[in-house]
Amino acid sequence: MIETRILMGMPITIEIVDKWATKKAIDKIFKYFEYIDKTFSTFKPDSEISKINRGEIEKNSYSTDMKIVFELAEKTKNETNGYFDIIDNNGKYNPSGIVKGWAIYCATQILRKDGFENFYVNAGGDIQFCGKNSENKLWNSGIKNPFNQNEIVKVVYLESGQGIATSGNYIRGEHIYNPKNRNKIIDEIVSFTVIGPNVQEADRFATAVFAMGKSGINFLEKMPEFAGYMIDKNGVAFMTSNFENFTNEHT
Amino acid sequence: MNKKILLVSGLIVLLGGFFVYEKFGTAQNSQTPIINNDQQTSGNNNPPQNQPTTGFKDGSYTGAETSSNYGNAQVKVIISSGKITDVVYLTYPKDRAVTVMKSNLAMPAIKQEVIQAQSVNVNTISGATQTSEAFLQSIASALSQAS
Repeated sequence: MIETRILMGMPITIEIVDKWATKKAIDKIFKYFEYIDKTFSTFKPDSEISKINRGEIEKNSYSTDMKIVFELAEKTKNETNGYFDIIDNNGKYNPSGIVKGWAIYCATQILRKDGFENFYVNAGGDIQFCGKNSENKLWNSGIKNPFNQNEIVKVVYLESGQGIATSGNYIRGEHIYNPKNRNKIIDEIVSFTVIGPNVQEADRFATAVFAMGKSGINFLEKMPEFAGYMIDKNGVAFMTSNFENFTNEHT
Repeated sequence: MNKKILLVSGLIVLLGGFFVYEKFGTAQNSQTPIINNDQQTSGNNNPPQNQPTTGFKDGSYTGAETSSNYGNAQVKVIISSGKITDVVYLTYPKDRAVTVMKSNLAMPAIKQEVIQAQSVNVNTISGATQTSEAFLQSIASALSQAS
């Protein structure tokens, strides 16, 4: 059973291959993403994050989920030498860069608790895999061609529990800046895919290494639990030494 | 004998002079950075009064474009509170085969390939959507201000 809906402005696809999958189980996950949007959207004036940014909620009164996300953001900031930060130029909190991966991971935990074993959740191109696919083989994922949205340039095979996330800058003329150096536009790298022990880990590091520019791949090379595939503006890909472990359909 | 004493005292004077030059001469010289100030001030222009001065004025300084065997190089140096806080590579050698090899030496484990479209059926696709891109841009612009 597979279903895609547009939520938070992005396509979210849930596929469960277990025979006992129900529409109700999938609805529950989409409802969870609606709750995430209501809580963390900085575009919604009634969201908890908007209230926090208006100073209406004391720190010790944050919801449990909000506290978890803030802790995760702080941890990521430390682990990436400041290349990840949820505080924006007005001193407001914008945790959207970390919420997606975390929420996808939480959604898959709900499915596990509900007794499902073989499924994936893909939200805006970031994916958490569990179990095997409908052919009882490893789940596979294409990596989108940053120069042609209808093509893929790589296929990777992922173990149960692993996640994949891609950060990108596909639209020409718009630039992402290195947070440590606003004079330096990141236009060298157009797409950075990270495979990690789960989607939450893959997502938070994908965001940070993308901001590092070309040296992001070196940063990732030093982290053996992650693999990376970085595509530059000339269509040349750079990969960590362990990346090719994922391009063969191992069992 | 007399010549020896003369030689030794001469050496002492020379060394002493060099010491004085090292201690005071270079400090004087460093008041004038050898790079041109392009007047793009960044960050805090007024270092705290009680901080020891290093002789560097706050601002962003663009160096001359210089040629190396492997291509041209140009940097911009950012000074704030009297300290070098960043060096930006405006131009760097990148367009010659030998340079590519040297870049690879810096990261020996990193393999490269030219991307190619694959015609394989896949379960799902990872990629940055326009929305996640908007997310990223928002984050990045936020971060750029927070630095």
